[in-house]
Amino acid sequence: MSRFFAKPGDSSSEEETESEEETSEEESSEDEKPQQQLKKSSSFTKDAPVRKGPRKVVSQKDKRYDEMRQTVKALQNAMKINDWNAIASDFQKLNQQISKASNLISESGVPKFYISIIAKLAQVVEETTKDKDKVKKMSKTNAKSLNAMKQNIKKNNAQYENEIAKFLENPVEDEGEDEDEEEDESSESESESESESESESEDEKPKKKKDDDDEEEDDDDDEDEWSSSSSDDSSSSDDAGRSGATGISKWMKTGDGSDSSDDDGFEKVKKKKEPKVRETKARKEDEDKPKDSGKKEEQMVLTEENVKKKLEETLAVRGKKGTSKKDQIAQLEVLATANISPMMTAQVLVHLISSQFDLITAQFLHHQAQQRDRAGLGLLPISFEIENQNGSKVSSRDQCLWTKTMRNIRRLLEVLSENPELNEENTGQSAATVSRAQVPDDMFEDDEPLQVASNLVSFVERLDDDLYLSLRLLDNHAPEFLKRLLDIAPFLQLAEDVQTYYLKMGKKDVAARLAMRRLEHLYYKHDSLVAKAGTIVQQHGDRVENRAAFIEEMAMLVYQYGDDTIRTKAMLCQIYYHALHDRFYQARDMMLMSHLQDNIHQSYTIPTQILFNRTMAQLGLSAFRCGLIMDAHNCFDELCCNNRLKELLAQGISSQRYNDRNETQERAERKRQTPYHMHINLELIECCHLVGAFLLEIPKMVAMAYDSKRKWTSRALKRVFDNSDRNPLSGPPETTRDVIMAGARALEKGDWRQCEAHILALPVWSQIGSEESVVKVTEMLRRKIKEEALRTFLFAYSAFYDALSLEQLCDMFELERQVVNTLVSKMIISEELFASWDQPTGSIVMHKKERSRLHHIGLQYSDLLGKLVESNEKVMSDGMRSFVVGISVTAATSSSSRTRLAAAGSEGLEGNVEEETEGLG
Amino acid sequence: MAGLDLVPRMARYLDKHLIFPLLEHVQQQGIYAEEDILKAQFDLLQKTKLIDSAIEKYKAIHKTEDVPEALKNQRQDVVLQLKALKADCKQLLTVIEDPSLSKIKVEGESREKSAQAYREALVSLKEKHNIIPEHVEALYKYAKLYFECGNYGMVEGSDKMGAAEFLPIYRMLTADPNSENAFSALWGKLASEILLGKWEEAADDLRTLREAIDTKHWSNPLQQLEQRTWLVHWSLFVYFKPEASKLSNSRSEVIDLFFSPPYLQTIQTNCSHILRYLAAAVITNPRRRNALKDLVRIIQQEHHTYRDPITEFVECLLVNYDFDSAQEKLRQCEKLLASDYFLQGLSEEFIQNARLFIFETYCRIHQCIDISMLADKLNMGQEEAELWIVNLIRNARLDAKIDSEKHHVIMGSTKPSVYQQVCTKTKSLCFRSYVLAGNFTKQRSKYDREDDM
Repeated sequence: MSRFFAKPGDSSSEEETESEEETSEEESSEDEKPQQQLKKSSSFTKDAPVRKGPRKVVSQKDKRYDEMRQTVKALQNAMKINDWNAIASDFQKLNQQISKASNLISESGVPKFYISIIAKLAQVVEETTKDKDKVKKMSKTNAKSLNAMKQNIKKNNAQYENEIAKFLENPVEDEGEDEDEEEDESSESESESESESESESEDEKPKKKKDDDDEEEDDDDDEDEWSSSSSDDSSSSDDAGRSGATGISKWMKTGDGSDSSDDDGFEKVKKKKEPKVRETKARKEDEDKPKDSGKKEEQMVLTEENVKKKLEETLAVRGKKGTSKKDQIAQLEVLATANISPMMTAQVLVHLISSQFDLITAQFLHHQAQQRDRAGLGLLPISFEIENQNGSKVSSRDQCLWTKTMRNIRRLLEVLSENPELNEENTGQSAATVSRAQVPDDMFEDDEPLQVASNLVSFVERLDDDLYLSLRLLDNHAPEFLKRLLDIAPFLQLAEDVQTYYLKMGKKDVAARLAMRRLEHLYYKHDSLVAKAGTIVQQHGDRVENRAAFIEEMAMLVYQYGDDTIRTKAMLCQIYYHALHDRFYQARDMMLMSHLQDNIHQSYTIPTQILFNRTMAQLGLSAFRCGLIMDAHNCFDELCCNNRLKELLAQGISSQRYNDRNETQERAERKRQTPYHMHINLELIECCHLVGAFLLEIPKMVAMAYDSKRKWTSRALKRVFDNSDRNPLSGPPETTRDVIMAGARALEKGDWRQCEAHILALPVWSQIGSEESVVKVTEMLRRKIKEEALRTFLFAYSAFYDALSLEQLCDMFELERQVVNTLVSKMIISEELFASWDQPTGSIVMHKKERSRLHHIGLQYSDLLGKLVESNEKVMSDGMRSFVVGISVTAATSSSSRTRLAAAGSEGLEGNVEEETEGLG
Repeated sequence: MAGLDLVPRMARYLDKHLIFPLLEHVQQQGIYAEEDILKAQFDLLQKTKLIDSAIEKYKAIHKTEDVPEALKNQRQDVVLQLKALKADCKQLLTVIEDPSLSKIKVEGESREKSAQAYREALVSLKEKHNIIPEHVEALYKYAKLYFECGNYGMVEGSDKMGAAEFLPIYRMLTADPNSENAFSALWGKLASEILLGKWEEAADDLRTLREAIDTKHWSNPLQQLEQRTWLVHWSLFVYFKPEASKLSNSRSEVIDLFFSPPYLQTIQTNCSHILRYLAAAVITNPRRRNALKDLVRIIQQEHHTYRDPITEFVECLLVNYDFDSAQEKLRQCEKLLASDYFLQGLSEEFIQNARLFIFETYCRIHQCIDISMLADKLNMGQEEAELWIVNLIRNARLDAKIDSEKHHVIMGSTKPSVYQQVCTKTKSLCFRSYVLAGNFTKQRSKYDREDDM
């Protein structure tokens, strides 16, 4: 990028690259022309009025001429580097263009710049052929081209003999240019910085290029010719103004601004936004030359007529590669301040906002491209770092742009709500239908209506997307991240207002969309948190009191009027919210009623699935907090079983063994990441899951020690156990997992004190919620551990006792009589423990009966048979007739695995409770 | 006590006329302030066409003899309406009162047969008398008005026909038996029968209605759910109100109804308070012990939405095995049962069964029990308790001995051997497989036949 700032006379190789760029970017240079001319004509201030000409120039002519100029320039470049191949092809192209424009030429004569170039070309050809050494040095093809060119030019120039002669006699323009160059030289740095501040990055290239041309090529003579046919009045008038007395000082001022910026050209571009705006305004005040063109209109009374015209103009160039988006924004901003009818204001604002978005997108894309380049280095972690850095740059700079855009949207909303008669019909207009080159006068009349109203909502959504994006990309420790977080509040308020507006307009579906957006920013915050924050700062767009009702209201709106996707999302958000506040049953019932568990993986998009996973995780946590270990386990099981928790919650890219993702997949995954402030503590989830799992598992494990084929409740726990079994030595526990493992081992021995000491010492419990719930959870865990330890103890050691007294058990496990009583009774009833109470003495009497292995197997076998028949009956009654044939009734000997499968299918929370909700639909 | 009263929760799902008995009952119980109830009754009456009762209530509330003009006018209006509608369906009424029809009714031997004959005669008469659909519709309105005026049907000793008689006739004659009116007619008939206390007919109606709800095509599942909720509530009258002698059978029916999947869903989603009645029905029906497991499961599932002493009793006894609190809950249940409109009659039976229940469960996990303690638990005197246990043992429902010296009950070994267990587990398998195979062949032959066709 530094070549923008290259001094004249830099190595020619650099120019070569530039010229390549020029030719390759044909389209863009077409638009660059005005800039050049702008520069050029600064030396011809006095001539300016002459060239003012008719305001509307036939645009086709411009187009043709622009194309030609383009080619001419390419030619000049080629000449400079003696690339005769290029010269030949360009020359041919130029001639083609001339013949295309033949009717134009017949009207207005052969353009001067054409004459000048062919004259010059002839001259160069002659010189080069004379210089034998040079020809020798050339490559074969190049020399061949030179010869061909020599022939061609002779033939061609014969046509224009008169004109050439005239031109050679009086090459006035060249001299004029030289003067200009001197001036340029004298104020090199200013002009550079000035030109930067005037234009955006893309425009700088040709300009710099221009300077070089001027300096190096004496016979670069045709520049001012071009401006004679200029169509872009705005820029010509602009430069006319700039070359006035105040011009230089202004350049100095803005120049300082850009000088202070660092070398990175890209950054510079960003910074320039502000000066630009300032300048536009300054110009408005400074200049008093009455001109009907270009940016001049700011200083005039901004009548409706003018604004309209200006808007047309701005729109005409919008979207072209070379158009400065910042320029446009600045112009539109000025327009928007004009005292015009609300309808016009609305229109201007619509365009202003969309160009602001364009700019944001452009910058973002640029960053992505940059980032991709660097990511190409192949080091993933590094590229991620860089992404973060870049991200922070984007957002810190964009900050003001974003807020500005938001302010504009708010203004638009105000305008719209103050003027209820304004709706999509009379504010509608579309910029897209306007062709690039031609701006028909009547574009406002016959444009297809574009809905401002729906624009408004898409603007808000866009704004939200950008906010979310930057939150996602930012490093969560960067101060910018916090700043962006602060933006959520005003956004919420804006969304709320827009939603009210739409509700008033009766567009409930749109309002539902907005409600959804708001919900997405609110559901993951705990009431107490908001309340606490509310005591310090007023919570905009949120409620401190009665927040549940507030959330509910929004969700209801979405349920009623939203479409399926956002209804699902709203449902999940509400479930999450309930779960967060420990309303587990409510959340669970909603989850079951939604029937999402069945089809979430098939019929929903990945972001929704992520939301679902988040909701499940939160649901599990809430169950855990409520002490419902089994329910918590059911929620966590699927999330945790594959070691893919990170990925499932989109909280970081998991480094994994089976890394079979390609780059696109990885990028897509990175795009889905949840912003940091919405994260759920992964360690906490895993810890809750494992603790819950071992509380369920250990007693079973001890009870069914014989059964080698025993099914584990939790695969994740099994893995942890297997891992620890594999270790020949186990040191003191370090990681959370180790600690949990140590706790589980202690529990296995019935040593609840040890287990409790391990588990409760985990620091992660402090993350589980408010202080209150931390205490609650600790209590719950302590109780559960004791209870499960008692069960484990009975399973493991009851065989060694004849009788156990209740008192003794109570003492051993520090449990109340009632609890022990209940637990033991339950075990007796469910035939886990073969014993009975002796009421008068308050003791448990064991029924001694040693079972052989055959007994065990026999009992198991009869159980399996029962299950098999049961499942067959189920299959039969379910009317799955096709299956009846498959699972034959007589298949009593079929493998037990199938039976287990069927039995497992009929168990579990979902199976049971889901029936209840089916009726609701 | 007011918190445990379900009238406010149930009233939403009951017909206005059906609420009156409930209100009268709570009035007797004195749970709510007298004035409130009077006012509620009056408000309710105003919405119906029972103007005479409304006037009475008005007098009771305001303690005056003056009756507001509005009520008088209303009465006038109703009378006029009645006359107008009667004129509309006069032709049809003559058909209905045709002696040949009443003869069929009297002579008919079996109910079904007579109904069939009745229908045929009716249709033929209809053709003879040239009855057009408008007349039939008018009959519906007439019947509805009759119902609203409290003229529910034929009372013993009088010949006057009421809504309960007209509505089935309407259903027989109507052109479209699936229309909304025909459906409403079913509800009307059920309400009439309930209010008349004809429980057998009501039970029949209930079955018809249930079938209609299940088979009818509902555009919105919510509507169906609503209808089922109503049905569940109305069925309480039918199943719990008849005299105790006929109860046991109906209680089985109510268990079947409530445990059938669609109705179980309805209860769980819309009206978990029905669990009280379901629990009561299960406990008082010792023959349906197997339903207990389901009951416990549902009560546990719903315990965050609904709980009362009865469900808590079940929970204490069968989930927590906490006999002390179960005892405590049982005492609360006693009070609750006495105050509940539907369970009044069941109170004693419930307590007895619950006691037995506690004892049985207790025995299952004990091998030696002190009788005095047991007596305390069962809310009985020691002698009484001993007698009770002896009776149980004698009836061979309990494998136990009494150690009279120590006042202990010693349970026999409850632990079956492994062989025995395997035997019990596999006992039913043979039969079940047989049934399954039978079903399978039956279905296959059906398919084969279809294939042939």
